[in-house]
Amino acid sequence: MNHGCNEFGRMMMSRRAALRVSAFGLAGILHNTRCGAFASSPAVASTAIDEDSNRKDRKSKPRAKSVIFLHQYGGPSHIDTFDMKPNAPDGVRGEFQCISSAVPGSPVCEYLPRWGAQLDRWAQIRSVHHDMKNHNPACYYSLTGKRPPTDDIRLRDTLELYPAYGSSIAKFLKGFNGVPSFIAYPHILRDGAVSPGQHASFLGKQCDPYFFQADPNSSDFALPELQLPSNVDLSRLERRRDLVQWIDREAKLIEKSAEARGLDSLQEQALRILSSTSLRDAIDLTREETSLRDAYGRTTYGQSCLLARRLVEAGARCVTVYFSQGIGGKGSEGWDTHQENFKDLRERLLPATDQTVPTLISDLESRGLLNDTLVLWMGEFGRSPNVGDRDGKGRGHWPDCYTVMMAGGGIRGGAIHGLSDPKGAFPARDPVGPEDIAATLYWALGIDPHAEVADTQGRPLPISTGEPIRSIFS
Amino acid sequence: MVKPSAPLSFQSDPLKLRSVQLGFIGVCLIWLLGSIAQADTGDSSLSMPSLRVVPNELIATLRYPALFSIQYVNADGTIVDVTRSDAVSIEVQDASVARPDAPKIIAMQPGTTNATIRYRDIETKATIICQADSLSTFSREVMSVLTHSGCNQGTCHGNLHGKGGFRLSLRGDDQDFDFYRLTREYGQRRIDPWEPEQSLLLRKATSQLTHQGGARFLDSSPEFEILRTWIADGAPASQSPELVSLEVVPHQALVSGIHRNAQIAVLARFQDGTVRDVTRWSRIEPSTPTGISVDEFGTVTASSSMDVSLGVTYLSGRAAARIVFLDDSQTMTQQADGLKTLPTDSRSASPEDGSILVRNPIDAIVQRQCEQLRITPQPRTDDWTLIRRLFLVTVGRLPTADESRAFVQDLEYEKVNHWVDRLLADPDFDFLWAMRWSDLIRNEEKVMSPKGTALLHDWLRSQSASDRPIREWVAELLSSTGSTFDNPPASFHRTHRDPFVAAESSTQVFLGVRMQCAKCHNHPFDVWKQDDYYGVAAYFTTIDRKQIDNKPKDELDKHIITGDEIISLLDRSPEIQHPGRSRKVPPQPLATTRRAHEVTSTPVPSDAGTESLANGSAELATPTVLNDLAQWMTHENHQFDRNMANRIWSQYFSRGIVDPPDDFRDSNPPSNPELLSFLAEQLKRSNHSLKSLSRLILTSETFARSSDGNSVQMISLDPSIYFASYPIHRLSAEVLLDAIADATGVYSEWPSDSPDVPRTARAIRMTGVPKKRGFLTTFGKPDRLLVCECERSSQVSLGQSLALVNGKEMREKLTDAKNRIDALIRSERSVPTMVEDLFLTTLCRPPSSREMDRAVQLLETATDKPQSIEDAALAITQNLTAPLYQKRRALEDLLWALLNSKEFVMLR
Repeated sequence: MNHGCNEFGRMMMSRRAALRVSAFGLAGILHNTRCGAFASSPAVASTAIDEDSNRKDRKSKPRAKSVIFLHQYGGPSHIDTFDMKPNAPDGVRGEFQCISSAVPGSPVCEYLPRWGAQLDRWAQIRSVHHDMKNHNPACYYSLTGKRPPTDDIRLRDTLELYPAYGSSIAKFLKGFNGVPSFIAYPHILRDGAVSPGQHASFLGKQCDPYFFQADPNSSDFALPELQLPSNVDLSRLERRRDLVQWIDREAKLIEKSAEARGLDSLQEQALRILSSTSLRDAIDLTREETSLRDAYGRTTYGQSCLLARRLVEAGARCVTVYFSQGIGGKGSEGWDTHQENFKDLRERLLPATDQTVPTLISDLESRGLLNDTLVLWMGEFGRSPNVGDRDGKGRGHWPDCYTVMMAGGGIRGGAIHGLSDPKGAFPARDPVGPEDIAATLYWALGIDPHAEVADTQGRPLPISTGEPIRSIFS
Repeated sequence: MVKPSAPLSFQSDPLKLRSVQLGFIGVCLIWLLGSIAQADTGDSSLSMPSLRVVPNELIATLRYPALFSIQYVNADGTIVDVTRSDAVSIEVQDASVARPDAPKIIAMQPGTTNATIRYRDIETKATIICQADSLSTFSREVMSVLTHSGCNQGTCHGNLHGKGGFRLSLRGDDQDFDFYRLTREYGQRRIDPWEPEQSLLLRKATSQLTHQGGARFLDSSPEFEILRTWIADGAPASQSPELVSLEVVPHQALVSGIHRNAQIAVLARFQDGTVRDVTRWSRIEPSTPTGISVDEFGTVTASSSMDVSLGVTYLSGRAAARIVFLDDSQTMTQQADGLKTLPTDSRSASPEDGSILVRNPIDAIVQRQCEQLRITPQPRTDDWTLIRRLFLVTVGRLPTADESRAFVQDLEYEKVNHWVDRLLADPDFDFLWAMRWSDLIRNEEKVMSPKGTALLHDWLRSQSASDRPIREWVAELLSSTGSTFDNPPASFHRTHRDPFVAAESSTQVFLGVRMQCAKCHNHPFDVWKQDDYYGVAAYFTTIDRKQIDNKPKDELDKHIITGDEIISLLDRSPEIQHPGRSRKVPPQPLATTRRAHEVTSTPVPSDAGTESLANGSAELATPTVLNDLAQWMTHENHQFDRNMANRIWSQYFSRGIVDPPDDFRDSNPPSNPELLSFLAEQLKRSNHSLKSLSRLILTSETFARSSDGNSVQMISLDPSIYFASYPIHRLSAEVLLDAIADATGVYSEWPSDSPDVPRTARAIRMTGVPKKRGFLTTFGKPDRLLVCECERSSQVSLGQSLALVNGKEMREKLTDAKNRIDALIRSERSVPTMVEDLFLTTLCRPPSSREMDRAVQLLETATDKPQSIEDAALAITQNLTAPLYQKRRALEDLLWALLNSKEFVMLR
């Protein structure tokens, strides 16, 4: 199947498109379904004028060295977290109260007090939108920035689909100190079938994440393949290394084959990882102060985030932490709150989040890592403005408008890009697609967002077709 | 049979007389010895160096000057391009007609004249025809500006969504569409006939207005002038005669000399018979992005010796040329050093090869190319390496120590033939092919169910076991209907569930062409049109599938089919909606013979054509539509034969003659065209017998060559591409896991949760895809969701290294209490024999004395080591005395090192 070219690029709301809309007096007609609501909103004129609002921020420069990507599967509600709508009607506003945050005029949910107090470290992108209503395709979209070929609930994970962000990053940036560039854990996302977008796909195995499913919160958390067997000590490992070099000298394949040479350098890296302490120590959470571990929260997510900081510190370029394996709402694991939206958020999801994420930021900051580390917090979509899904207390899937949060790595704290309409239903200004989130991520790391890579058929494909949101960087 | 030819090209500045003399001496040599070195390009240029002008008839107009290449043709057919040399003189008989300005002829006035071209003491003649230009038109001049300047590339306005609100058809596919966009859209805002220079189109393209694509051309350029004139004339939809064919000359060239440049010319022939040199207006794209440049006058310059293909696009035409820049410096040095001067020396010097005569035609063909390319073929590899190679590529396992020894000690002259025969009859030979075909036709459990997967796998295996003609079983696979359980070949239509997937898969797998691009637009790098794509897809439009007993665990998952499926054909004529046409189109065979030089504007299925075809298909009644498909795809289809021959070859060399094996394209030519044609012919003659073609390949000297010619240095002409050196490759996932199991003597068994799926301890015998990700997926076993050969990854990754160094499989097998090491230490054999046993079972060769010394020392010092608590505990559980346990420890280390050595992991 070929889905490669169909969506080769995504039409941006350009000056000319806006011109067409206004020039023909057809402002009410939707020229592009994805931006439909936006075109009909009063913001058209202003957007038409500052077409490239990015352009005035051209001076901003990429400065991040690594990314921590926190992915909340299921789709966190934007209206009940950062894009609160206190003036909306009952059926939209929801049950939660606003509290003021460190950013004037930007209230947050009452169950995110710590995050709110730290909001001046964050940029909010409140106008992210796409058109995938099912978890698997939307998840793929959010993990790769590439629009899936179909909105099929069981989108198949083949090598034709796009690589994960971390894999594209690994293609361009090596990890420091021999630490793998892209590390992902502790779940394989699946909704019925494995969700696509979690590996290197056509970029090839060398860009796959170093992935594990072990739970950083369990008391015996360890990665056996990084751990030598009990009767193999370092001297025995050294003896083995010496022997293998001895044998390799005979056929001299390393001089003859690029593959053999590649294997050799990776073998060196594997041995170094086994014999050195950097990655193993990073994995060893017991080296952290108990108080800090407690501060992150003794949950899989909390300890995973702590581990993310340690891995970035050790030299990883992209650490992806999956909040949960599945979407499951209703007291289960994920953010898919079709039922009991408020109860689930209040009792399960927001407290865990409010404990962990602000701790991660302040921890990064106190270690001087925040400037170099871009933290990205998002799900695959938002949740419907109208309360009343299923049990009457839930919110449904809502890809048409949601909020993405970014901090660190040069982000201008307190920045808000884009706005949603009064119901939080559609972007009212500066609509942004997952493509642009991808572009922003790559740009922040100093990677050309439109750099081309070859797919399995040798077709040149840009790693992203979006535009970086430069205005949220200082 | 072929006399080695000394390098006769200019080794330095082509102007130096010395070189010519050198060449001349060489020629005399050749003359005396009666060499018949074939020239790739030339016809009569065999005996004497000569001068040649390409093309010989130069047709020039004011707008389209004629480019020419002056080639000094060496006796061996290689050329030196002297077009721009100062030593060349061009004398035009009637100077009022044309004026030479190398590399072009500039027309002065219409007329015909001759030119005499002299280079040193040789001369040749060419005809010059100058013609008047016809009027500049939209369909030719304007469209070629858009394509040549890159405006309609996929990354620019040719994008499906255009760029900045302006969209053009991809690479000028659709002139009407582009005409509308340029002249009509947005109230004609892009052109201004009153002030043409102020047209948005021109101001953007020259970057007077902000243009993300930058300045495409200057306002003093011919591009600008063409567009300006056209706009000033009121932007008419003017038409030139249609393009009939596109040709690049020279089509192929072997270029010697240190200057590494070559002149090409792109000639377009139009419907009215006119020919124009359109080099200046073509997009010329080299197959390698670096180290090569092509200027606007078609001068190709390479920074080092290389084998490069140039893909050429002009309007709707596609053409390609292949130029090999030979590596002269190396041959020169060798000569100067008095080393091997003649490529064939190595052959005659090759040891143990009783015959100097070339017995196998494959060897003669490879040899011939090596001589042309001045590559020294590797000598025959040693017997240890050869038997390991032979086992791995045919039966997917390592030879045992006894088998290796037996082969090496076999003094029989024809021993390779005997061993090849034995291996071709081995059941694992058929398993290996069943695995390859299962990969390619997507035989996986989700769609096929475990039972269906096993049945299809078994059917594929039996096709190989009985050596049924490939053509026959592929035809059966394409045309079978009915229950996929009762009639496994019907499964092809179960795994390929929609006409598009089926069209892409069948052409890629069975014809080796990739048509995916042509689904949405004409293929940008190949000759395929959208019409071709939908013509093939239409064959699959009447297939109906009924599921019996389908009980997926997850009802929402439409990709899972658990029971049987019945394939049948609907009672209607097959046709499919063509997105570019207003009507449906009927099935149409793919014109695989259509390649460069031929008409590339395919006939649109006209009304008349549609009718006659539709009538035809109605007559044939629907059930035969698949027979039709199978017939044209497999019967007397040259491309089918070439593809199959190439796939078989690639199985044994881990590299196709066309590589990747499923990417036949003019701009991806076979590395040795003669070899591929020969193999395809042999396949056909042997009645499409897999085993007899395999036998021919495996018993060739070419297969037995050493891999020592490979190098990680960037060799410009990598000998392994031409099979002058055996390509080195990583073992595939299954073979590697089996090899580790054989070496350690510990086998994993894949549990079978279905009674229909046979249990197996050998990974290459697995019928389907492993459910859990593990060793096999880490090493690239494909999920069988694509038909592309590329789905099987041979890349290396950190995960793989960790798996080999410290992974679960490795640890378990290495420390297993009943593994090979255990048997060895209890056998009370001497230390050297133990070491030898481990080397033979892993690397399939005895240790060198250096390795033996190191290993013996390791084992003898082992006993002195103090024991740790863990070791003591292990020794007790394994019921070993302390010294024996120490020995075991040392042997574990040795085996670990052997399994981690590159030599073990690689096929060489």
